[in-house]
Amino acid sequence: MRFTKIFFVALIALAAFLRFYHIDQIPHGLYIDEVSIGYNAYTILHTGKDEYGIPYPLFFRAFGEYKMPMSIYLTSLAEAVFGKTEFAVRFPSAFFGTATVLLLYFFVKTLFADQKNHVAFLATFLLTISPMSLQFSRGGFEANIAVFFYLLGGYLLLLFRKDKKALLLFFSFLGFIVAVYTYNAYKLISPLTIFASSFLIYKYFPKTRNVLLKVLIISFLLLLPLIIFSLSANGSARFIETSAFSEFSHLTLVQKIVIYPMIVFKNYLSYFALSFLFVTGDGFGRHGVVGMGPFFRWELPFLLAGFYYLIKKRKTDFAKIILFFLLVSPLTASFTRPSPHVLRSLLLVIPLTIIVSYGLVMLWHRQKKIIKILIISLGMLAVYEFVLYLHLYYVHYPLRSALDWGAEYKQVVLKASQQKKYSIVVINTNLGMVGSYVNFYNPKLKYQMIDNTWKKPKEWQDKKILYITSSDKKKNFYLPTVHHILIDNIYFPNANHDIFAQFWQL
Amino acid sequence: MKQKILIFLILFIELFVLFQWIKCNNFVDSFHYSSFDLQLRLIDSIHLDKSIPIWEVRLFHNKFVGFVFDIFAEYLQFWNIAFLASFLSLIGAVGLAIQFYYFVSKKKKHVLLWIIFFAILVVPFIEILSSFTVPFTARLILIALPFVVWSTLGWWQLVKQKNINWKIIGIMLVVSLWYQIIFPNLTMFCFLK
Repeated sequence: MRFTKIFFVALIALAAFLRFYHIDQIPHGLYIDEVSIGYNAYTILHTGKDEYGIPYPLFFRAFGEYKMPMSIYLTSLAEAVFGKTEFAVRFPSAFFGTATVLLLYFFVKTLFADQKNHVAFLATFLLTISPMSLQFSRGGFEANIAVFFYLLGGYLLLLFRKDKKALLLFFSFLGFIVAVYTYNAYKLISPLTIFASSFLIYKYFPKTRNVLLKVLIISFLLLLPLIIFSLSANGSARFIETSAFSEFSHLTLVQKIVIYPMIVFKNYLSYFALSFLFVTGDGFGRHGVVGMGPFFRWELPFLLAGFYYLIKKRKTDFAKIILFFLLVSPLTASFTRPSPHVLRSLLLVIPLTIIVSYGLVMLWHRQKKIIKILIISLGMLAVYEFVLYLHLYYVHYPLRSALDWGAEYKQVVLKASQQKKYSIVVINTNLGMVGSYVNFYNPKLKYQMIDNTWKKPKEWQDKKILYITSSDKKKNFYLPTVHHILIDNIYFPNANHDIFAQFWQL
Repeated sequence: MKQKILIFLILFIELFVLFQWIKCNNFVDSFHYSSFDLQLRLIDSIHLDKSIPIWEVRLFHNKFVGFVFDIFAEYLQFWNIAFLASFLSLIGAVGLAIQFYYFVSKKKKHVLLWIIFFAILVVPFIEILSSFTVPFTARLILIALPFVVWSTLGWWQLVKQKNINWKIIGIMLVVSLWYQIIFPNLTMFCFLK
C-alpha cells in the first residue's frame, strides 16, 4: 500500500516535471493566440476590462472571432502570481494537464470498480508520458484545460451513479458546462453528454428524477448566455470560418442534403485513421513533433487488444462508458475543416489511453509466456520511443517549428524597444501579427503599421525612421527606392539561419 | 436465404469498389518504402543535432530504426479506414474487423483460416517492398483477394448469429454505397492510368 502511494506520488511528480520543465522556452515562444490570451488576462487583471475596453466580458473578441472566457480568467490568476510572463500564460494549461493525469487515475479507478487498480495506474502512467497530452499541456491551449473539466464532469457522474447525491450531479454537469465555456469544441460534446446521461438517470434511477430536473434547469440557465451568443453573428463567426461545409455553400439544397452527412462522416472516420494516430498527426507544427504521431507506435497492439476486450465485454457499464467517450470525442471536430485536427479532438487522448491500458492489462493477465515476452519486448520499444520523443521535442522541435510559434516576434518587439534614437518606428504589414506581440511585451512601444504602398511622408524627411520588415524581397517594394541602412537582423534558430525580420534606417 | 442475399450484396459492393481500381497504374508513393527518402530524412535530422553527443545522434537517427518506422508507417496505410473504404467499401472494412474479432475469439481455428490470416497480414509487404517488379494488376489481385475473402467470412460469421439487427446492416449497406458515390477518393491512393 505504501509502495503504491509512493509510486503514485512519483507519477504525478513526473507528470508535473514533464509539463512544466522549461515551458517558458520550449515551445519556441508564444504563438499568436497565447499572446492574445496573455494580454487580455493582463488587462482584465489590472483594469477589469479586455483589450477593447469591455468590462469583464463573457466572450472575448480576438482576431475577428470570440474566445471562450475560462482560459483568459485562469491566465489572469496566473499572471497575478507570476507576472506577465510566458510561464504565466502557459501555467494554466500545464497545471490542468498535470491535474488531468491525477484525475484520470480516480476516473479509471471508479470506472473499473470491480477490478484491481492496474488499469488506473497504467492509464495514469501512459497519460503522463503521452505525446498528445504533453504537446498541448506545454502551450497555452484552451482545449487542454477543457479536457480536465470534461473529465471532472465524467468522474463526478460516476460518483453520482454510486452515491446518488444531488450535489455530485450538479457539479458533474457544471464540469461539462465549464468545459463549454473553455473551448468551442465542447459546445456539442458537453450538451450531448448531459442529454445522454440525463436520459440514463431518468430511466434507471427514478428516485432521482426531481433532482435531475432541478439540475437540468440550472444547467440550462448556465448555458443560456452561450446559446444566445452562439445564435448571434458574432457567436457563429468561428464556426462559419472553420465549417467543413463552407466550400460547398454553392450547392443546391438537395445536393447539400446528400453531401453534407457524408462530409461529416468522412471527417469523423479520419480521426480513427491509424496513420493519423500513430505516425503523422495532423501535420500542424504546433500540434506535434515531426516523426511522431499523437500516440506512440508501441501502443498500437494494445489499442487493438483493448478494443477487442471492450467489444467482448460490451454489455458492461465500463465498456459502454468508454465507447461513448470515444465516439463522442471527435464529434465537433468532424463538422470543421481541416480534419483530422489534433487540437479539436484532444479529448480522444482520454478514451484511447484507457483502451491501451485496458488492452495491456488484459493481455498480461492471460498467463501465456509468449505474450509476456512480447509485452516486455514492446516495453523496451516503449522506453526507446519515449526517449526518442524527448530528443525530438527538446532538440529538434524548437528548430523545426520556429515558424509556428512566435519567439522571433518577441525579439522584434524587444529590439525595436531598445532602438531609442529613432523617434518613429514603422512596421510593414508583412509582419502582420506583430501588433499582438507589442501589446504583450511592450505596450508602450509607439509604432505605425504600414503596407507596401507606403512612402515616407514629407514632414518626416529630416527624421530618422526605423523601418521593420520581413526579409522577403518580394514583399518589400518600397525599400529599394530610397536610401536605407541595415541595422539588425532577426534570425530563425534553424540550421540555415534564415532571416525572419530586418531593421532598416530610412 | 436472407443471409445468402446479404452476403451476395456485400460481395457485389466490394467487387464493384475494387473494380474501380482498374483505372489505376500504381499505388501512390506513401505505400512504398524508399531508401532514398529515408536517407534524405536522416541527413535532415542529423543537421538539427548540433552539439549533441555522436552516440545520441546514432541512437536516434540510424537506418535500422528509420527502416522499421517507415515500414510501420507504410503498413498502416493499408489499414486506414479511408483506404479500405475505397479499396473494399466501408461495409467490406467492417467485415474485416468482424472477422478479426471472430478469429481471435474462437479457440479452435481451421488451418485455412490461419492461412488467410497470415496472408492478409503479409500481402501488404509485397507492395511496400517490391512495388515495381510485379505488374500492378497482379499485385492488386494478390492484395485484394485475402482482404475480400476475410471480409466476406466476417459477414458470414455475423449473419449466422441469431440476434442480428438487420436494420443496422441495411443502414450500413446504404451508407457504404452513399459514401462510395460521394467520395470515390481513388486519386488519394493510386496514380491513375
